[in-house]
Amino acid sequence: MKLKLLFLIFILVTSFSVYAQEVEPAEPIDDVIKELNNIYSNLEYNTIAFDDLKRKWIITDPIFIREIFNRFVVNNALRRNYRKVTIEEIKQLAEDIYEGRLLIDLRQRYYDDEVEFFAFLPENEIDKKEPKLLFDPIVDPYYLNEILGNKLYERIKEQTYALNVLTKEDYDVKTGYFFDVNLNIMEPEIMFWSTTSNYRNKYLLSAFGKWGNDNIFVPGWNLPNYVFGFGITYFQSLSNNPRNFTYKVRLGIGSPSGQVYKPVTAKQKLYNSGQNIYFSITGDPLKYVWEELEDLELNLQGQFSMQEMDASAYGLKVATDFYTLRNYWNIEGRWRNLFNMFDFGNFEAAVGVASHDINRFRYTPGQKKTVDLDPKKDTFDRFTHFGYVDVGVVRTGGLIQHSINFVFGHSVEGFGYYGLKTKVMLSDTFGFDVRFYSAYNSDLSKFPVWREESYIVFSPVLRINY
Amino acid sequence: MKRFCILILVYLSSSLFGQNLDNIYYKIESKLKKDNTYLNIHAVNFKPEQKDLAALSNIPLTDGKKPYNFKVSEFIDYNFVVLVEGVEIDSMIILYIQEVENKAAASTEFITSSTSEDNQIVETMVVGFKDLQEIYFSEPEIYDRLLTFVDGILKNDPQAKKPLLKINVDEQIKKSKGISGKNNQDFLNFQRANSIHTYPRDQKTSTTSSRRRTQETSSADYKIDASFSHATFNHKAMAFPFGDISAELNFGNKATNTLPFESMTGALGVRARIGISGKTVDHQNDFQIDGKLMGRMRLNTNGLAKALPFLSAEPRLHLGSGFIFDINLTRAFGLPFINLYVASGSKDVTNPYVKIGPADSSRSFFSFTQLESSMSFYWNTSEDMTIRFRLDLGISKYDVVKAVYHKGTQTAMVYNQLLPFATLYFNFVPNDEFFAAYFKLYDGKVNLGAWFKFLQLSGGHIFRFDFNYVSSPLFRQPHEWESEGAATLLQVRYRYGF
Repeated sequence: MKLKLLFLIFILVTSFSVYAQEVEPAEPIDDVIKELNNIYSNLEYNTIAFDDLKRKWIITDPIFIREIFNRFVVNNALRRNYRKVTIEEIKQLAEDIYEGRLLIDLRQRYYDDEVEFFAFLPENEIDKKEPKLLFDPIVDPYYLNEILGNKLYERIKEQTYALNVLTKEDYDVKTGYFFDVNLNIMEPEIMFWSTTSNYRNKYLLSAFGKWGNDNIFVPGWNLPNYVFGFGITYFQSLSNNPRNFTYKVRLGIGSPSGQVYKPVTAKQKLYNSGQNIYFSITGDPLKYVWEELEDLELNLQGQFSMQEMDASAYGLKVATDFYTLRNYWNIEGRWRNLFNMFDFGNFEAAVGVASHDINRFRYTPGQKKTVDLDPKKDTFDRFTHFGYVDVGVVRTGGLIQHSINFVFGHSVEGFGYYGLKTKVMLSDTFGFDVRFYSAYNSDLSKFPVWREESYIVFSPVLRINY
Repeated sequence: MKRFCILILVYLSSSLFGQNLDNIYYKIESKLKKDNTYLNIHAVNFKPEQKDLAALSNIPLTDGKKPYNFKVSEFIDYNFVVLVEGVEIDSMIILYIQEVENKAAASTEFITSSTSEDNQIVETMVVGFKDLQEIYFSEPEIYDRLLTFVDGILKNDPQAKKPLLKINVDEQIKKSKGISGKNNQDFLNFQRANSIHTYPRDQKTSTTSSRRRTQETSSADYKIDASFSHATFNHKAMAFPFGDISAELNFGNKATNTLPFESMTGALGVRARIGISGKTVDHQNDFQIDGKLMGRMRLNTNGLAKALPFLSAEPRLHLGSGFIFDINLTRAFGLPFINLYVASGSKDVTNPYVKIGPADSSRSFFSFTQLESSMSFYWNTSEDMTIRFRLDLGISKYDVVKAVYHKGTQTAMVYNQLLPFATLYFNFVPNDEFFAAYFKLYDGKVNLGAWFKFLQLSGGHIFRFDFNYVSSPLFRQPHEWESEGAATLLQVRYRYGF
């Protein structure tokens, strides 16, 4: 009886052992084997830090895969959890091979061209982060060479067969603070000097340009005024995200930029009527009151004309009545990093108020100065006020950086604009900036004759940052 | 019977275990033998003496081999090949023991002379990985004895541990981002490749056994850079520790979107590079002032420009006689590289070389002042500096005076604008300077240029093809003083002594 019991235990143990080979996860069967495998994996110079950057490819040629698989069968080199696989298992797999559902996953060593990882991979596992391999992978090029034979191994290394290369390119973008040249027709900025006054802060000195203002809905070249100036940006602690500055102050001078486009729907051109000064202050001061407000960025900007151009400077030849936008101001609160939208970026939202004046001047040939056609209008009445909201997604780092913002603005005069501001950069070097705004209620009698019903401005962007 | 069955169970599991164990032993031993580059292991060399033999005798071996006994011989020493560090490895592991016999020395013991070719080193693995691991598992006291022995060697002489790693990881360090030099390196590299003047070469450092000496690359007695549109000359006597001086003749002008000969001037002057240094001269870090002062004369190159087959340009704008002051400054106080150009002079409109329009209303155009100021930013795509970039961003200005020759001469300023410009330079320097190109956008026109080296003769003679192009205006109508078509210049540039 006891003998029968022992025999039964024996059968159970052996069958369990075989069963275990099939279903159990790859765990070392013994401490000794584990220890020896640890020695084995430590013999090579460890390059684990570069695993994701090593050349990686998948053999997809079904006949070539059969050839390789067959060498493994012939040399009895297929292992699962360090144990040899049975002929039944191989037969089961043969069907997958006939159907071309088996692939081979390979990775090259970092400092030479030997194959450091070789594994048979079911086709349906290819998209998984941790794919379930059919057999124990071969992690030693010399052992793989022995199994396949030198000729076949060399052919695998040559990569002259049907394959899919899956080598990762490193596109992680880190901001440099040596110089930063950001060329964008509408908002160029050249950071040319930086200094640190304690061990982790940074002061950056930049020259900048600005064409148009989106918050008063006169974007880019639609505002015939180009601002040149200098700005200082302060980082309390250095960041890889250039938007994480503590404050930014800009001061510039606006000059006529000329008319580079012909009005499409506007009945009158907008003119620049004198040099002006521009200022902008941006920062997150409320974090000093309440730490949770560190992502609330406040911005105050304005442009004010300081003088009036001589009549001859307009380049007009006949008597002309024209409109000119001389002053504007804008205050905005922007809550950055509201939440993360997976790989698409961080969601942000802004609300703001912006106002601009509009003046009607008359040019008369022979007169030295233009004449204000609404002299009795007080300063406040000349202004048009906009309230606006701006929501969008901003992504920094990685291969593609972008900011996509939807803007909706309404003026006290009953009309408004809605639109899209997008900037997409590749590797933070090349990109494109496009802004589009379309008016609503533009048939109102109060819709300004100098305004376009829709605006589109764009610029290529080149950024060199070190 | 019960014991028998248990024995069968143990046998079966041990058989399975043995198979796996043999497989891993095989793989490790095979790797140790064949992988000649990537093994991160060390060899600890020692020559046994008689007193050591007690600890090193009767090392048991596997697979029926007789125990190994270390030998004491003048011609035999040993390598303990060890794995010193590793992930989840707590202490040093002895991988195998190698006997190293100098057979040639042994056979020529009594021969008075021998060459290195006669040396025949025979390395034999006398105790393998499997042997040592079996000792470790079954006779740990012997393994500990060997380990203590190796530890003793390393304590006495830490240098006895020689790495067997053959890949040079220090030479293969890769970086994902390019670099931008923090000193004058990029400026000097750019000027050496492109400038028509001489710049100091990098100092080559050679180290001798006891002291370091520095030497400058030797150069010819004089240097010439010449093409159809320019010539420069520098003699050794014009070089000083803090800088150098050279002479220049040039038919080109900056800031006007014109090619050489198109602006109808010739300029002659001197160029000086001065390094503001302390007691020792250091071109890489000293503040460098690189300036030119030239006298510019009007020259009637109108006919020449039309006759030369390699120049396609239609001169229309006269630049006045006067002076040119052109200066490049390296980074001071952390600022970028700064370039300034001023050209100005006589406002004489009495004798134009080119008149436009009918005789009763003929007119000519003159530019008397040209200004240009820019900042230069340099970067390299890799540490090797094979591909180099420079970006100049700045503002430029030139005035244009229109003179109408009808019933006397009437003049009027018709153009005087300050405009931004950007120039992107590209240099390809595989070993030495081979190819360069630039792209400039200014006042609605594109300027393109490129050169490549096509001949290098012994003795320092270098020939380059040099090409320059100025487009017609892209986004506006041409001004009256501008030709309607594009202008091109193709020439050969000769360099000697650079």
